[in-house]
Amino acid sequence: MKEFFAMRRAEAAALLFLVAFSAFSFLPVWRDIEIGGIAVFGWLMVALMLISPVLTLLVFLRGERRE
Amino acid sequence: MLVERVLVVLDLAGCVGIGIFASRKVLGSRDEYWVAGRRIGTTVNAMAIMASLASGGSIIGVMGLAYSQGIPATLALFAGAVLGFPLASLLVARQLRNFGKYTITDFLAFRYPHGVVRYLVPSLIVVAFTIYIVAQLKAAGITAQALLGVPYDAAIILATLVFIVYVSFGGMVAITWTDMIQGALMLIVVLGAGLAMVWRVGSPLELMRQATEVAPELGQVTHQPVASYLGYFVIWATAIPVIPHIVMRVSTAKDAKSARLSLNLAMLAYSVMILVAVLAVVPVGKLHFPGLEDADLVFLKVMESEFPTLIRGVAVAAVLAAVMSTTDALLLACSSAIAHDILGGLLGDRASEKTMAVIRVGAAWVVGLLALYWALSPPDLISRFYTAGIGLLSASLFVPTIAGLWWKRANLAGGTASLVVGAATYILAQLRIFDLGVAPVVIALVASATAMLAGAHFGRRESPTMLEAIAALHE
Repeated sequence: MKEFFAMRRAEAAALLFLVAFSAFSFLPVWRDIEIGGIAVFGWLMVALMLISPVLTLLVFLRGERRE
Repeated sequence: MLVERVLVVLDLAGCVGIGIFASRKVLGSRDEYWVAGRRIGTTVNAMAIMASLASGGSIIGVMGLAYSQGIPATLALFAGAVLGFPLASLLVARQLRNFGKYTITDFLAFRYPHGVVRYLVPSLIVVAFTIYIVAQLKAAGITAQALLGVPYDAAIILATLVFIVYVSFGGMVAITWTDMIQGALMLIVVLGAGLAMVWRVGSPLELMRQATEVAPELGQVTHQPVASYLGYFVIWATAIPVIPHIVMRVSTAKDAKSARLSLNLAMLAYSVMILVAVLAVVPVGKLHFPGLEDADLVFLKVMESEFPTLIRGVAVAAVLAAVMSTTDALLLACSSAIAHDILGGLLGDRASEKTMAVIRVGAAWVVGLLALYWALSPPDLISRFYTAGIGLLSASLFVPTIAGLWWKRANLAGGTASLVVGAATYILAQLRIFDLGVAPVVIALVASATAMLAGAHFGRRESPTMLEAIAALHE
């Protein structure tokens, strides 16, 4: 890891989580199952659109408090 | 239509007024013109970033797409942009704001000092953004024709002249203030309309249940191949951290913290606006207007049937505001690529500040008039091409930028190779010279990353001085 410039642990974790969540959302299985008339894939996209800003904002504010 | 026309004329006049007012301050200074003196506050910047990204497509297009292609696939396209914001906030905002220059070209040409980088990057920006501007002008013309009864040609000539005047004379200061007002207008109209729809039915879930009972295809995605929306998702996720009009906004922030917070707040506002539009307005459109031939009219049909004249007029102004707030930012970024990146690079210190001011204003007029010329008789598929244009920027700029900021082994050979290979692969894949059954942007990003690795392996290691300079950007 010395080949990379250091990133705060919380920021790296948030980044990894969001990328993993995106990859998980695109699994083909979620296209066929529906909840409330909407494919689970659609609900996962809704979740991603809500989780992304809130999580990043929380990580930012946590970092600011620590500084 | 009188109320709508009056509101739109007031909006356009306000923009010109702001541009002329700002010109007194900005014309004599590079910093003021390109990055508004780097003193834009967090809230104003957040709203301006949101407005820059939220084009006509984000209001009319998102609802039309959800109406015709279903909610899940539509959200996949826009979720890409939402994911792009954390990438921008976590990976580039602090470093590029600390870098303290104006454009993405400035950073890449510093990190990989080679003529290919210095001139290829702005050339790609000019090509991609001119296509984007033409698509936006076409959207403005069609919207004005449909909503205001103004002929297409007259509408885009008037709109373009207004853009050019306030962008060329008012620079980033004028754009920031007009975008902030336009962003607030968009947010209020979409959220207001969505909340009113939900209020009448009781809950968004009940609204969705009713709509999917009548039109089950609204919630389905099985009829679409994954590649059709995965490509768009990846394009926008990787574009936001490197796309020039967003990078310039990062540079306008008063400090690195403000830049990051602006991006986070912009992402929140953009996300909520898109979700309300898709989950609250589209179901009502599907229930009340199930057989629309032109799906893009769904928002305006809903506004027409559910709200009084004055609110409809505000909605029309909000749609045009969405088009204008993106186009002005694109025009400034495109003229910065010509005036600052290319001509500024060629002239260096030989040009006086006065000469550079003339070049800045002239570049905006040249780009604007050229885009107008094409928009008067636009190619049929221009609206599809603009995402391809953004894909070209993602494919070529994402890897060299992120690796240049974070990977110590990124070097001149790797950076230059990843830029050229990313752009070339994307163009070849788009033209279907080869087709691997995967979205072109995915192939191009892999090729760009491979070129970076190869360059780092075979090329000379980066100098300690450069690594120290990059390390300083992380502090």
